[in-house]
Amino acid sequence: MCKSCLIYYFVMQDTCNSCDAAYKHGMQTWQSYIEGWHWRAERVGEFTIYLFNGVIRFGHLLWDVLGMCLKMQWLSRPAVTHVVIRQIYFTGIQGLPWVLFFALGAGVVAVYNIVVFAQQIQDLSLIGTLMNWVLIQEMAPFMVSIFLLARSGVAVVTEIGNMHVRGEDAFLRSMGVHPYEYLHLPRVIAFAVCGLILTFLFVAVSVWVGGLVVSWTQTMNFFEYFLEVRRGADIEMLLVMMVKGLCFPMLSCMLLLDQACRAGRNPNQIPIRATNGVLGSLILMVLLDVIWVLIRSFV
Amino acid sequence: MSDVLKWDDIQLFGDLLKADAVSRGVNIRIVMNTRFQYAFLSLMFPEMGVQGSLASSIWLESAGKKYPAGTPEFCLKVGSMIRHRGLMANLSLRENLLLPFLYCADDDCLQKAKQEVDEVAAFLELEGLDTQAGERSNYTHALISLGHCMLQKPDVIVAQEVHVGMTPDRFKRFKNKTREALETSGAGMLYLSASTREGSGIKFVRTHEIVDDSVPDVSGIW
Repeated sequence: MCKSCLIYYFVMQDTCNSCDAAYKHGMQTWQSYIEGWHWRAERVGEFTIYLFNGVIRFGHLLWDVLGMCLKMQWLSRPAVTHVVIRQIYFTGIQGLPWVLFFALGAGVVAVYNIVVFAQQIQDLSLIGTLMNWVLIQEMAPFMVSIFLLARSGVAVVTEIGNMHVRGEDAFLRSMGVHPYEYLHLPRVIAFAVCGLILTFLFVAVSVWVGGLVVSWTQTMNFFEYFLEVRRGADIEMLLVMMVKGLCFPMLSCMLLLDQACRAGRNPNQIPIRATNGVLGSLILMVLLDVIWVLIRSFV
Repeated sequence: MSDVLKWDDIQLFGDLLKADAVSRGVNIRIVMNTRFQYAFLSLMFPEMGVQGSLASSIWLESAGKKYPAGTPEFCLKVGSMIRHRGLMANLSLRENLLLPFLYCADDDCLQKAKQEVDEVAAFLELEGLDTQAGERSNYTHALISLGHCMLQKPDVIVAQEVHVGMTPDRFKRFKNKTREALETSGAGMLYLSASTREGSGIKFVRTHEIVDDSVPDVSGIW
């Protein structure tokens, strides 16, 4: 406030018109600035609560479904075992040609490039190491999980979402059928079992056919190649591949199921939930892999 | 000794539902609007493991044991006929009829149900038992619900107005089949209805009315 205005204030117990307008304008600017920050804080808070609730819901689902799986009661229920067989057929058997196609494409190319790279830097011992780290521990579980997400994951969200829209979950409850045991568990089992087996097949086809391609193109002798692969292989590699091949598809499936249940009775939510589920699963897999790498680098 | 569905005094949506019991041959009706019917049904068959405080006020007494609403035993022993909630679209009609038996791990019950399913389907005039159900009319949902009750032979059935929305000829057929099935089985019924003039043709021993003042009276708008 200017000096004259201060005088004006003391004399008239008020501000002059020009200073009053400037003061009001300043207050309005300040208020909108504060409101802007409130809005941002509200969005951050909402997102944090959303994320927190999602994690808790996912944890409950994981706990319930794994508990049911380990109790093994489902094995004595023909209704559940029928669905398990159907889901394994759909996810594993019908998906097998596609996984083999990916293995023959991406896997064999990866093997060929690894061999050529090792030869270029004249260190053949790298073949086994790179194969172990890049193909077996990282690429195979990821490729198979992404394939399962793209093919069966979308089908899972759509199917379960439609069941919720039609109120079939309520029907199951009224029949005394546990929706988690009848709807969720078979799909999680199918994803886990098929993920593991398909990852093994992906690796086997990539390594063997890759070796044949390498020897056929006279890049390297097959037996020499096989010796280098064998030298780089260890039991830890197999364990990591198994854990990733099992957990990535299983956790992805749970996330998809969680999203499918959130469709409620609104059919318009199904495509939204499918997109959220697939993207969320991809992010989850990447996060888990990063955590895994960090743990390994520190332990 | 037959199963008895009982409930204590329940404060339901601002109104009191007095304690009562449904057993074999006893038909009781609760009149309330559709929204309340679904809320009441969700008390009886809540999400597994999620039993609210009100749900513990409803239970089934069977062979000296008490099964609170929402427990798997309760759901298996109480028959249910809920509007448009009679079947799973991705199962065949036969699998739908046998679903509760395929789920509960009792081989004897399953074999018995498998022997009876064709007879029940013939009574209900259901055709193409081995075709996938898909989207079906209210009438088929109601018939499958009735089929479940005929196969399960419960002492107590909880029914909502499953006939609402049926064409007059189908309604007549369904009404006759329901009456015949109930007379044969002798099951008691807890009937949830939106009106005292629901037209089910069932004789009720008592009627409880849940009046909700918050719902605006829209009769006369059309």
